Amino acid sequence: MSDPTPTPPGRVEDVGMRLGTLGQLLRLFGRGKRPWLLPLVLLLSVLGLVLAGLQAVQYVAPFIYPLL
Amino acid sequence: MSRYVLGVSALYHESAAVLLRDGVVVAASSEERFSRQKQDSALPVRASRWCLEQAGISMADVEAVVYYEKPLRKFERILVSQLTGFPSTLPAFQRTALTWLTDKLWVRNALCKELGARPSQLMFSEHHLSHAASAFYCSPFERAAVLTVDGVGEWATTSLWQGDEHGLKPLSEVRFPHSLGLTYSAFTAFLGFRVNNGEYKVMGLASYGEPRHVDKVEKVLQGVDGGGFQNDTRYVAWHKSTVRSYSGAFEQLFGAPRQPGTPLDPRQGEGKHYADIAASVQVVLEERLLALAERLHADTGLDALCMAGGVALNVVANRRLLRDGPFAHLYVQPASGDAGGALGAAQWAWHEVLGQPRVDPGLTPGLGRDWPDDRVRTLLDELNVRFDDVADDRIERAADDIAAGKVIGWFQGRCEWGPRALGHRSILADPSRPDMQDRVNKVIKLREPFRPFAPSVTAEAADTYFDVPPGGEGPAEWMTIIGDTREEHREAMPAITHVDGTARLHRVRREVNPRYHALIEAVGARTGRPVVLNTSFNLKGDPIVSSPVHALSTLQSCEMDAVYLGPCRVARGQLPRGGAS
Repeated sequence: MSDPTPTPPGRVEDVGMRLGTLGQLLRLFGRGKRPWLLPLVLLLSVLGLVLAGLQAVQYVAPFIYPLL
Repeated sequence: MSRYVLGVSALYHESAAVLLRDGVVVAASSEERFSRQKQDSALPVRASRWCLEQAGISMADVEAVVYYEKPLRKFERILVSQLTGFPSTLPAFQRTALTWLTDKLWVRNALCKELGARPSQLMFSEHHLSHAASAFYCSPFERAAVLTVDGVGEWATTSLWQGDEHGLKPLSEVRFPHSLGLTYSAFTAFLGFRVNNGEYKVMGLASYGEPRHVDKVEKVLQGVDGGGFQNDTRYVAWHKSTVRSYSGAFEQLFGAPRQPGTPLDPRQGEGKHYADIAASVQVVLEERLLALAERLHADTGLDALCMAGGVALNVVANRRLLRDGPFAHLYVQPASGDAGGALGAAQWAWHEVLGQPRVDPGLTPGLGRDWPDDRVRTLLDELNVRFDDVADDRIERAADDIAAGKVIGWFQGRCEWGPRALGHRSILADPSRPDMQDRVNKVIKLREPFRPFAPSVTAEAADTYFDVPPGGEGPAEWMTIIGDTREEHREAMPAITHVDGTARLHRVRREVNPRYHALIEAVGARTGRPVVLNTSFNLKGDPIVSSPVHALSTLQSCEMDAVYLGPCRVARGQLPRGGAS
């Protein structure tokens, strides 16, 4: 049997997938009937990246939840 | 060379993993059976790894890893709903933004990081398509109408399909916020039970009530022409709140909600009032399902119906559909909740993306983890647990115990697929003893006294004791339908006959589970009836046991008399002081 232990994707691959997901989201809203959602998605995308960054900082993470 | 597809469901209700080999189910399990967290919704990392181990392969050998829904479409629905309800949706929006931006949006990354999948392996089905595939491709029908009904997927809450040699064709759907599943869940919350867990308690409670409030329920959930339905959103709150499912107007209509955890006597006083409400919502649900079935029958002209989605676990409605509806045959996916989505996603990919022809998927009750006899013996020795080796006479010994009025745990073969215990991880007792329902409810399962137990009966004797509508024999093998206990046997089997004379029977065929079938026959030889009381092997709030250690822990925590762990019988008195673990 082969080793079932997963090999996690590298950092570049991980960021690439996230950008791909955001691209799909923009396409979904831009191409569909709801282009008015695009600005919100852009805002949330920025917020999401900030959140993801802040959560990695040990001393800041506990304060994120009350901010939202 | 064999081809493998892994189906995965996660992040909302019960997560699960299912592995297909050439279209046949090799392994299937909910994550809760490994994590011991009831209805665990985390990514099924352990279940997935176990599936691969069971097949003796690695993730690299898997052709497709298929997620059961499209997360981005779901995100779109949530954003649109919350923006439409702004500003009252602001608190919900804050929660949504946090959970989605930090977690649920990145399913692709999680599948790669946690399960070890490569991006090129990933596929995404749709929520109701996964349910529909799990129902149609597991059914015995070459052509069938398919009805999927649950709380909500991406946008759809109810979907109508036709399945045939070309695959699944969508016919129509009802979209959020209008939802039969969410309506039933709102009443579940109102009646003081936990949403996504207590719906079957509402169904059990309904039998004690009179449907006096149907007109009020129909204000909340109205039928529309053509078999559809819609909710009056003034009464519900699920579209604008993540913590509340009904509104103040709903409370004005039905009165004060029942406080969770308070005593409930459905025969009198306030308890009767809540039972009447439960009976009313049950009746309205059945009427809406019947209307949908009529529509589906008119659209397809077929005589077989397949169902999946959480609402398909409403066994009372399933009987009504078969008895009063237009379809002659019924198949209900036994894992109709989100766990079954993992199975359907894999089947969709196998048949409709990879273009493989239909095969018998080999769906049997036991598709989960197994414990070979030798491993059980070794484990008990390691735990210093004394036991009787009953490998050669476990059937006779267990039948003796049951006939003597003992309550036993039956841990044999592979763990069940789906929420029901079907003779692999079951607590068993003699249903003819008048005190047995109270005893098992109060001191073993530690649950509400009004809830009934199910009987397991041999297929040969099923018609003697129970009356199931024609076409219900298949669903009865998976406990997805109820029948009536025949009048002449009701008094003799009080522990498994509900207050309205019904029973959620489990019809056991020798070919499907020979050991369990033999046990029921042996009990019949002693008691005169080949029927046993069968309830899931767990305590209140726990998942069904999946390892001998969990089984021993359950034996220790309640007043069960003995457990049959493969070839070993362990009585309460044989447990070491201080516990087995």
